[in-house]
Amino acid sequence: MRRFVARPAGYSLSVLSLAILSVPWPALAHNEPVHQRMTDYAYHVLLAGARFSEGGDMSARLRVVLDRLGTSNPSVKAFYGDAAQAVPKLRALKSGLAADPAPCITPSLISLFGGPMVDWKLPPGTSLEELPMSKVRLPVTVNYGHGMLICAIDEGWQSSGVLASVNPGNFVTHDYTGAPLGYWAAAPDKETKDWVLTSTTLEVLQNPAVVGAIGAGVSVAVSAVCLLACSFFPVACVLCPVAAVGAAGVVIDEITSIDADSLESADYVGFGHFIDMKPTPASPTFFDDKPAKFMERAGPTGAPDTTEKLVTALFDLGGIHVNHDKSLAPKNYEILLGSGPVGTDFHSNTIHRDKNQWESPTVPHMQLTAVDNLAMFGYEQAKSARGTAEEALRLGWPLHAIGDASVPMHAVGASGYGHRPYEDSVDMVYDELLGSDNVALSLDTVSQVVVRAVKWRKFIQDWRVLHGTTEVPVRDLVTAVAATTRQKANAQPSVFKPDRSLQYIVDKGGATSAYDNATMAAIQRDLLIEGIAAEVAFLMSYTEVSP
Amino acid sequence: MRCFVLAAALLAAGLAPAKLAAQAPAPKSGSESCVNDARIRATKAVEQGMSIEAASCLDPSLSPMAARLVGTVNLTRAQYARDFLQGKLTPARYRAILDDRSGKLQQLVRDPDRIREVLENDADGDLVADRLDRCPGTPHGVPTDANGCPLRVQPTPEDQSDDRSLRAILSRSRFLYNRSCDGAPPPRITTPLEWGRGPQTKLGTQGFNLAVAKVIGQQPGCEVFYEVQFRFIDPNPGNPALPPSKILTIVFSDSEDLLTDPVRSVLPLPVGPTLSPARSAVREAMLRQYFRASWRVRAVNGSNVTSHWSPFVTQGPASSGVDG
Repeated sequence: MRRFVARPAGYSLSVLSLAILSVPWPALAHNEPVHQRMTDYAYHVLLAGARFSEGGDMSARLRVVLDRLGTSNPSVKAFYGDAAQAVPKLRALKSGLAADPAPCITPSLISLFGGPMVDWKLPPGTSLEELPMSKVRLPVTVNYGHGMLICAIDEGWQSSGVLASVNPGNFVTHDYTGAPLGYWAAAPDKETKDWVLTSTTLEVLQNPAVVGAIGAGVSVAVSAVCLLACSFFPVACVLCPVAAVGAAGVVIDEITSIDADSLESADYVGFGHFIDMKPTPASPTFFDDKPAKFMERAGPTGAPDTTEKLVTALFDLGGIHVNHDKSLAPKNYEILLGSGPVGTDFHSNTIHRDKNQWESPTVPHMQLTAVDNLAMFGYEQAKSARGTAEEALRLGWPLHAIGDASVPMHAVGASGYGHRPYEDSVDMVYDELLGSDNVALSLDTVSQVVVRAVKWRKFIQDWRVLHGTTEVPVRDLVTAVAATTRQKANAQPSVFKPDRSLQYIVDKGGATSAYDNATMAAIQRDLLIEGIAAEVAFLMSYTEVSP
Repeated sequence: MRCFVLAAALLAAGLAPAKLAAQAPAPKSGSESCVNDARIRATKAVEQGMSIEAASCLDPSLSPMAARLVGTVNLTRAQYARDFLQGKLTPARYRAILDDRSGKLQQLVRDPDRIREVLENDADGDLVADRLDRCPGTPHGVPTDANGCPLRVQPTPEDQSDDRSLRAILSRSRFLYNRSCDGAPPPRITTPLEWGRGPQTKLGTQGFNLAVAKVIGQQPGCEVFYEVQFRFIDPNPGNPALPPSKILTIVFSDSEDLLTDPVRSVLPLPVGPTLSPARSAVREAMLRQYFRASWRVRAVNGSNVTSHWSPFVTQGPASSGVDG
């Protein structure tokens, strides 16, 4: 979203360069690398199970752990056999990756390719997009194909901890199936067309009579209050402190150049990535069995924190509404399978909302779409695209949803309560949480993922038996993962830190550090393992779905 | 297409001029103040005019009264938002007033007769029609019950603390703006290359240098900033002098680039006299003693449009240092 500002007089760029803060929207999370790595880990666990089942090589200690789990529980042994069936099907998925012309600049990659351009060693007549995942010889990062300055090849990629022994080889011979699969699991965070918004306040202002001017060529910093007040509503500017507005007074940018009808931003993408597992009150009407984000009742108890109120105020001030015609989410994530109130997946269907219902309230006062619906949309699309390069992309949707459902704030519809500090922290300590450099911890992680994956697998298999189908209960699965997440978070309520979300606006590092301790690491690890395990079960079960 | 939303808000805006007029300042002397006042008056005139014209494009599927009510509430919410941001409403009171108005709105939209009555006869704007309002004249921004009487919002210590925190945050926040960046695409995604000791910097201080992939392709005059985030990991946990890990975020201007290299930007991280002794000591300690750091970078242009973050890269200092 563009921002329009008043210009303070005499602001020193040298001061600015040290003091500026980009706008760190506390509400809008992006932890794409974690999504990618969770899925990559899930693939490696399947690989481990398959290798064990087939007597393949792996470290002796890992073999002992897997053997012990399989011996004590027949379901685990069956799980290994099922993994052996699933892995080849995942490896055969088409990568879906488009060519990215960004050059590499590190000596090692230039040496490897004989020049700056990435050499995928494609067979004649084959595109990277059509290449099976198992033939993708390099690990891509989540930024691949998204305008990186230099090639988005992850030179630091490695299998996590003891799982390295089930994926041997060197940099160009590893099995990278998990990397592009994880790449697609991260992709829903880049769907800026999901939510296209309209600012009625800007539309009012977009009239020649109210357009002013601002000098060009220099970046200036303006106060938050003035920015917010003045930018959307010039009348309010007169109330801004003179010191912040500056001697030049208040001016409005040439806002006629802004399409106030079509505000798009990566910051809005996450609107549909929540599922609120709190008990639902009798009123107002909710549109899904477990509602999505609804700012009016965000948070673990339904009391929005100050950050959520701040976001509410900004959207109300701007008169920010959903543009129904241009937004994909209201259409894609309204799940109506069959004609009745219960879908063909035996999960409650969405109650349809018409365009007026989507557009009339401002965003904070409407219910957005739930992340289990996002998962179902992707699942249905993936099945429809079976065998094509789009299949892997769409598989990313349910994988992403499972990842989001394993984050406490996503499971209570909260943009605040420490949402971004929590996710930034997981991003930073991900390897430590799973024990990448600690053999004992890594073995424990694999063991726990296997045990819990078998639990989620049973969840799916029981549903299949009950309903006589080979489908995957995607909405039920995501909802159940979120329920588990909320239950664990309730047992450790200090995971919700409303003050840290506010702090994050001016001090990202300080706010994130609040999660950098043993207590928080324990719950982060627990929830990561739960999410990965559910992804393992989903991936395995997806490969069994009849075409 | 967007007619309904626009019309609803603008119809509501038609109710607002009296309130807006009350906020307009008395004319000041001096040409700049006069121009500002003229701009404000023009804005109000546009809002009034557009609110009347917009009525003609109301979505026919919603009753005009209901649309007008929704628009009224939306506009009122915007007013509360301003009050909240300006410190006139505490977080608790802001929430209470939003809850109040949302609840009443839900009730009203089911009852078209009451909608008309509220729109035409609700002098204090609490969504309780004057005929039913046992407490007329409720001040603006005060939540009321179903009878229109003020609800007490008991201030709690947490509320006061939240309010202080919010005010402090807002007073410290600074947002970037540069008109030359209008219409510029998001900066391309950069990546960390290396970090390590640097030679004497432009600033004359011995410090560390950070090398990142240079962001190019912005419009002329549109500056680029690099936001760098470190997580330092103590190689010897338990050292009482250092926390086990430390997270640090620093923003650099492109003008601080020490090189004219087309692909690398080298940014100085001073630890010397330009910083306060305390901050200098912290940076020195972190960079010298933590040995390894995970770091990532993203670009921000002069209008606050950001690239995605790079992936985290974990590395120790470059053994031969980083030249600037």
